[in-house]
Amino acid sequence: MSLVTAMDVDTSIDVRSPEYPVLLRSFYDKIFPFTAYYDWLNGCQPTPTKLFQNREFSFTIGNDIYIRYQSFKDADALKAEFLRLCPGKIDIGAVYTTRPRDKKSVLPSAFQPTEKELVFDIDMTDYDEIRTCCQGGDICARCWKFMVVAMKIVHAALVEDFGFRHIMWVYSGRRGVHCWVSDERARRLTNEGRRAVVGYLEVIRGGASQERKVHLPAQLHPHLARSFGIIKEYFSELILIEQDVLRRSDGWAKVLKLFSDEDVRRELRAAWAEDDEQASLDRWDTLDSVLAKVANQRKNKKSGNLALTKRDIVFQYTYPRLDDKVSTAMNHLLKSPFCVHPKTGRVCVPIASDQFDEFDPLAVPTVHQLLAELQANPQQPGQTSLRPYLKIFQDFVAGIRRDQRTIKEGAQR
Amino acid sequence: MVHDHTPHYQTKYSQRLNFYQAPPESTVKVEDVELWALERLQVLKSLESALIRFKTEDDIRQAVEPTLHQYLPLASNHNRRAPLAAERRKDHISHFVLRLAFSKTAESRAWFLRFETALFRLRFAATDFQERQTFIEGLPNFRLHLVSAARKEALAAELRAASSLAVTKSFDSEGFFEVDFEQVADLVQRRQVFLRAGKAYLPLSDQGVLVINEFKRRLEQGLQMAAKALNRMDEDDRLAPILDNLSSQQVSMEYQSKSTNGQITAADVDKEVHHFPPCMRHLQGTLAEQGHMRHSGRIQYGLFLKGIGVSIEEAMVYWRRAFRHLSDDKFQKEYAYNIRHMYGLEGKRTNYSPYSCNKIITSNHPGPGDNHGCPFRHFSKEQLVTSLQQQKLGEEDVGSITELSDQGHCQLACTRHFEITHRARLPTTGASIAVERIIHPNQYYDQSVALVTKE
Ligand code: SF4
Ligand SMILES: [Zn+2]
Repeated sequence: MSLVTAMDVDTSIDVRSPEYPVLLRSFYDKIFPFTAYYDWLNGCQPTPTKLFQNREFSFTIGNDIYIRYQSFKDADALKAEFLRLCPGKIDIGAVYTTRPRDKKSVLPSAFQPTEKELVFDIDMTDYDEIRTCCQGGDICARCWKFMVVAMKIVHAALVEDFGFRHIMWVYSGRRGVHCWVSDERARRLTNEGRRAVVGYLEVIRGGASQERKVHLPAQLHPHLARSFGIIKEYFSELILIEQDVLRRSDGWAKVLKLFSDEDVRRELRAAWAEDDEQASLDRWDTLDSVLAKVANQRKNKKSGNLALTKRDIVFQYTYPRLDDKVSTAMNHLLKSPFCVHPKTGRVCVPIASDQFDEFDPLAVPTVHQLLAELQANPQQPGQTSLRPYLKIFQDFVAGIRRDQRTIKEGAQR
Repeated sequence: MVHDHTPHYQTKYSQRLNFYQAPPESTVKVEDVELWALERLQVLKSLESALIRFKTEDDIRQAVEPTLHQYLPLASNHNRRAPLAAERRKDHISHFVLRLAFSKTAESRAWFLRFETALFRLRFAATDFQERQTFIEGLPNFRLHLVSAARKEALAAELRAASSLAVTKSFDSEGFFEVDFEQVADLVQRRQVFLRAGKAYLPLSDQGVLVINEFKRRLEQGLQMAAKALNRMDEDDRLAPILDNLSSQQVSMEYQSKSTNGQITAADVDKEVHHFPPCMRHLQGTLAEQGHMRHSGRIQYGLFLKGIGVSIEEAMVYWRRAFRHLSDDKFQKEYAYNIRHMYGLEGKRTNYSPYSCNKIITSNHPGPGDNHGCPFRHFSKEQLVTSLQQQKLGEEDVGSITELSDQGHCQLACTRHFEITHRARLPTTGASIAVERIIHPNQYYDQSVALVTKE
């Protein structure tokens, strides 16, 4: 039923072909932004610090060799290793008390994670139970809007509520987004602190056997009130028109289950079952009138609950779904920005926080495309179509540098 | 209990509550020490089981009260007749002995921290306003930053929206204070506090939370130090055997599954399902139906299978067949490692044990698309009823199970499920049937198997 091309179709790459590592090598050699990358991970300090040297990198080589606990003394050593191994995937882990390379030679108690960016992972597969356009690894312009809503909501909370300033969103290369919060305070959060932030943001709770996943109090917490404002901007268009989640009976049956009120269920089932196929917008109107009718019969008794259930449904279908395991353990690995996704060939590029709506995942350059551009114009490696994304990254790193200076000047004064 | 900055020993007990910052000056008989520590352990254990069974503070307090009263009474300063000094000294000494005994492993430290904090919370709540205030003022390095009236005015709408009903009612007379959000992580996690730019704003009436968190934070540090002290301790210290005995008490709280490796083959697993507890039946069923299972489900189910006696070789065969949509190549690459890991053959080479009910119920809640967890906790009522009906349970039986799970008594509901599904085989003594309370999925399994082989 999907009219939109799924993104795997024409861009798939054979990662096992002998050319692929060669391709990657030129990418790392000419295009990968090592300078800014190193500055970012070194906290913009003039010389290599523990922040960089004790940081775990891990590499996936070819298709199945996985090397953990790598670390490097400076930017040159890092680049040299990238060129030597041509890793298909690079993961970034925590900063440890000793160099990860020396892990084997020290006692476990001397090898403890001390800090890491606060990270989030939002993956489209967690939306499979609600989206109707694609499933699994596929995405299209329609379901991408779930990510847009998610980024807006999480970003607002991180900035306004938690006061974080150095936040980078990254396209995961295929079907989701990652978020890196690099403020010192975020990096220093304990696992407990990380759990607190995740719990604060989390609204969708429950597994496959729990239909109703949202139960919010009548009085919305300020974070939720703000989020609800964002959600309402998208709900009609995204859920009712584009995803059209109520059109078919398997879709509306799911919503029906979210009401515990027997009267509502009966009335709603009768009304919705009349038509085999009906636009979700119309079905939603029917829902409103059924709720009004039942509330009326009840007078004021408990009718408030019905409105709350409806509000919770709106949340359940639109609010971000976070993968909490990635965020709550400091030593968890997360794929590095500017990796190349092995399935799509797309580069994991940053997304500007003032352009969530404009970002188009399907327009992100692939490594093939970039290298072709480079071949056509070898004198100017900085001029490929990766350029706008490099700029976002450099601006992000510049923000960290600026803060760093202010702190130093403050200390000198 | 006010002490100066670098206290050596705490010898005076002017307050009922204690942060246990300094060790006791001990001239106590060794036998007493052990007895007191064991008694305190009783209290912590009863607190543990109350926290599993009950939700409200009142219910928890009531459940623990008898044990607390028997082993560790702690009267307030208003009580003229109680032996205040003796009670407090016992409280103090027993805390420190257990702290040392439980500082050994990360796991036992976490356990002790959790339930000591719960005990402190209970006692703090039972202390009257005056005594609390004196206690808080006497705490070293602990000061609150009050929010100005103007600032409170500016944030009024948000403060109200994030406050409890009680606070909203007395909002005008309520004072607020400001702390870094990390200090009230639990409130942040539950969204029970207003945040702005990294600061959390709390009503003064909530300062108890901060005190409790501070207690926890300092105890956590204290446990780290105790662990080091334990390392340095003399082998023939008179305390050593006592500490060993105490810390061994913690291990016995976990169920050890009876089966040994290698009795159940891959082909047998599906025939054993009638012995499985509901959580594992559900995982087995989903796996059979979908030919796939997410990570957390694989771990919960895989470790259970290991516990019932599926060897690593058989486990490989079982999972390979179960993931029927996958090529051999993909299975080897993405899943085989994971399975070997469960058997301690990869990575840190830890020999992981099957998860207990407690762990399944309280940690790693399933998210969208996940099938792990405990049906009595993580299923909607409807789903639970449907699945019980599919197991051919009658209406009355289903009702008696959901009645328990509705109140949050997952393990009791599971025990009831066991009784119902094994009715025919159980010896009946009048109307009531005696079954061990289910605390572990493998215990459910072992019990079920034992009933059959008995025949
Ligand atoms: S109570 Fe324990 S054994 Fe029973 S279903 Fe829940 S987790 Fe499984
Ligand atoms: Zn789509």
